[in-house]
Amino acid sequence: MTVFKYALKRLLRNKLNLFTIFLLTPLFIALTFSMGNFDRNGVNVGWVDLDGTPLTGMLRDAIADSSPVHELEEEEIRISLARSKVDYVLVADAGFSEELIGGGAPKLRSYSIQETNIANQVILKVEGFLGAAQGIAETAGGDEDAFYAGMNSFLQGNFTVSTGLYSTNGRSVEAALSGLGQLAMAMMFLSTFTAINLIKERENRTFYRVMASPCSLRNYMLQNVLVFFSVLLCQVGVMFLSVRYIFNMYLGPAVLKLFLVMAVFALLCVAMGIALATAARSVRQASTISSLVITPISMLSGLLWPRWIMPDFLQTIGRYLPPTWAIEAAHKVMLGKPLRSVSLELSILLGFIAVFFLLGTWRRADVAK
Amino acid sequence: MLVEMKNLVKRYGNNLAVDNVNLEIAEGEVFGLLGPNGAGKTTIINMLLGLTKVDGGEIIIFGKRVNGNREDVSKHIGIVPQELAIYEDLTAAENVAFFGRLYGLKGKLLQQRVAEALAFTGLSDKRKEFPKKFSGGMKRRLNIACALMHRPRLIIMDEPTVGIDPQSRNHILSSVEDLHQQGSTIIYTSHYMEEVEELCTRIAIMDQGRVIALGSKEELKELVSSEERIVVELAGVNYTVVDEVRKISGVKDCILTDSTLTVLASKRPSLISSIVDAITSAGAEVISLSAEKPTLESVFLTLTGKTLRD
Amino acid sequence: MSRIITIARRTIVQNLRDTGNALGQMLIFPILLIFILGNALAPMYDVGNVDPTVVGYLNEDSGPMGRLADEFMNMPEVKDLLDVRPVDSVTQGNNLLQDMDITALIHIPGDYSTKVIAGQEAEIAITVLPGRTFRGALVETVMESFICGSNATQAMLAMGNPQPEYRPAHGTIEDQPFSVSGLMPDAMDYYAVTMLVMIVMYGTMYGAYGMAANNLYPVGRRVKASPVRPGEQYIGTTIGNVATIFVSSLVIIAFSHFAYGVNWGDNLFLILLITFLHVILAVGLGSMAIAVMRDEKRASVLINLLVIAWTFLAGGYFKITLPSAFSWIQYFSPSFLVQTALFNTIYGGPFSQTLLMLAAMIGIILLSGIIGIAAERRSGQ
Repeated sequence: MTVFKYALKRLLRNKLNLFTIFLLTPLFIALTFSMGNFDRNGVNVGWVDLDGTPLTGMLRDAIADSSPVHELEEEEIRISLARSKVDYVLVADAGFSEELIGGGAPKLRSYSIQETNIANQVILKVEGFLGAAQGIAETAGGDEDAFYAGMNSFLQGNFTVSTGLYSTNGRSVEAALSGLGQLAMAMMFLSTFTAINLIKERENRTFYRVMASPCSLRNYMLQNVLVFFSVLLCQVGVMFLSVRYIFNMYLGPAVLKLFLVMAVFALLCVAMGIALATAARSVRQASTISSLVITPISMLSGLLWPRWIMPDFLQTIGRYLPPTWAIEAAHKVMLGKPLRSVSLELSILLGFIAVFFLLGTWRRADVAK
Repeated sequence: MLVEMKNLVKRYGNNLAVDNVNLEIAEGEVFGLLGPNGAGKTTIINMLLGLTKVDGGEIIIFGKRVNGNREDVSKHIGIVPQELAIYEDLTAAENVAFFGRLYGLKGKLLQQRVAEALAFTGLSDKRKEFPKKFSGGMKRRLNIACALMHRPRLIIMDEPTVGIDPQSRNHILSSVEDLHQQGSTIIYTSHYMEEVEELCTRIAIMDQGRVIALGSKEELKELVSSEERIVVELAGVNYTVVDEVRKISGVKDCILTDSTLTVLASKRPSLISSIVDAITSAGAEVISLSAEKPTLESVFLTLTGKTLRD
Repeated sequence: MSRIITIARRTIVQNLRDTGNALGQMLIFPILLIFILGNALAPMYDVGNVDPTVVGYLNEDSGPMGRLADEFMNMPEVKDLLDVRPVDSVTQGNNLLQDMDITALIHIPGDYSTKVIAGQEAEIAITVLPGRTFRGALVETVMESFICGSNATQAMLAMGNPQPEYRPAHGTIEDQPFSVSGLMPDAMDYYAVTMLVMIVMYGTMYGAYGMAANNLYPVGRRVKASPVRPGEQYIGTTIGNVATIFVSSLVIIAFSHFAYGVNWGDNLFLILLITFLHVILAVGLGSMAIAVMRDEKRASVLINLLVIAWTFLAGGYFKITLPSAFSWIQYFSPSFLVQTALFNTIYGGPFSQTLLMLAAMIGIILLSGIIGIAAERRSGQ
């Protein structure tokens, strides 16, 4: 295990490279992405209240229940829509409440964006609310106190809707899953380090010298694979512990199974590194290839945002990229599904691993070159 | 015999890099492989180490075929590669220890051998330093230390003195001498004539994949001792000079470069006066004239028609 | 002058020869990222219509409220918003959720009508997949408008109305639609601008490398030993790098326009002017970083992280909305200044603001130039 021991020693000595280029940068990118919300934003409703009565206040609160409401002046309406600060604007004119309480059917004005139906849900809600208000006004027969008493009992009605997030065991794994995606990206960057180290040994001829010793090529490669594999496993382990105990996120019911999935992915990263080391002629070329390739792969595989938000053709491209299958398997395991259910994903990953190792096979004939 | 090469052949495409080479090296020899770049020296070494496939013939080291016994055989070989093959991010001692371990050394013996190897190459006080800070010569010495610490029976040095300062070079040459005294067998390649002449007990001269001469340096010089090399500085050069000189009996070749005429001829009395006569009759003037004893350089020149260092 | 041109020309030739590396990254990388981001994150920038949200619908209530709910789900207004898939059990619904076949599950429990009639609280439960902020709110809003009628009816009954009548107030909103076409970037438009800005920012590396080669490498020292004045070497290298990056920017602008149909607006001259200034800014910052730090490795790590931070702050990866108390932070990102100027130019934002951004950029250029040359002089003595 001499090669293993010394390679590890040398790897750990090179802390600046290791941390800044291969960990800090991708983690930085990943962190910024984790702050994004990649679904369409909720409907931002602009609200111009020229009436200013308790009734218009109730209406505003009802809308604000499900959509963010921004109070606007009448002049700001158009620019706010054009700058997409709001998606829909409602205006309650003066005298609106008085007319409604008096049994009339006053109208609200609205400004919408022609190209979208995004505000339809708000319209549905406003119409429901005003329908109720009109009925109550009719019942109250013009008596303002009776009307507001009726409105209050309406608002505190027995019928409710409760919304919860889907999860198993009552806890969501989404936060930890996006953390895993970022970890996977960092692991791929680290695998570049595998490649660079091997190329360096080839360039500085120590590889030649090792090959001239009784150490066999297979042994040499095996020990190098082991070095990078164990470094990646440590990385996964540290990440799991910090996610669990520092950030207090939920990793799902089967942490060991999840670790197994990530271990398979770690092996894939090493195999990719070895294949890269075979393909690239120099250290510079290896780092260029990796920086050109890893970020797009991470995006398409759903490591930086969930895959479902992407259009179908990008999701299809993603199916040909190995990290997609790792993150899918991780997700399933985190949702508490048995290992059996991810056998397809794992076999695809193992297939990729086999292909990369084959691509990365070095022959003794290469030694003397 | 410690090393036997029989009908060794290596092809790269249509190019014969090693062409039917037969060599035997005895225990305790310092064997020189001499030849210009591309002569096939490094290819032969790679085949000895089992790092390049042999296309024809066989190599037997320590009585074992290299093919199929590479790991067994390589245990007792120390290689000093042509390029520096050391880790910049390991200290001098760690570098030596790493390669020692690869050859199966461990524990106290390992520590002892590391110290010995560093002392032998004069790097004891640099043991904890990184090669990044070393001079070219110190790196070369470390490169050698890494090859010696397992006390190999056969040491292969592939151009160990390329591009270093005279001091380090002398150090390396005297180390080779010491190793020889201790009874090591050494294969030494170089394109520096003087080194090979000084160190080696037996020499093979290679060109274009073939061994064109083999023997002790005296034997090799004997090959050309019946010839003489005369160098003449001229004034008023013209090309009839070459023609005139070539007419002299016994002159094998005559080359004119700028105002220097080099004549290769069989030894015979009054050769020099005939040459001077021929030159004068061609209308040129002799400024200086020297007759040289054969050196390996002139042996090489005679055998291949080219100088070693181009 | 001729010495400056000589140095500039050498810099350009070096940059071009390095095709496999830096230049490839300067062109292929942004073009690839514009494509991926522009497509993958399209929904975030979409102003178009929203497809109906696919929901599972489990109605276990056979009472009057259950029937009412079925009717509600069949209303055309609701059908525009929800694509309803009836399910038979919670398990089935959960499975559909897990496989992401539905976005949300609406569950009306079996005792819903009973509780309503008994005057107890009755709850409709919605379960939404995580991360579907918009869709989740939509489903909730729709169901709230369903219970709205029930609550109104109950309130009217309580007020003593024996025959309460509830009708949603359709047609009570008078709408003025307003077209925004051409006023808002879609995802591809957005990322073409931000990725251009990002990649020019990475051009800082060129500046840094150029300066490092001049100052820290033997060849550069040799030039220094020639009768070239330090200022000339600095300016010559900068011109060479500026030319390289500016040409790359032109390629990105042209490619994104013709291949992806990105809208770069009508005022191409102003776009190019802003980009040109930005290139100078980036190279100037890079040169300054080396002149001050005198360590290529540390400078490039710093630049790498700064570019990511600036891009993020400017909303280059995705739009960010900072609380208004903190929005001034964005002005610390040069990327933000450039992006604001570019978006204003393309989508008709206030020109005064564009001018302000340009002035700020020129300020940064002058400052980095002065600091760079000063540090250069000091090291030269």
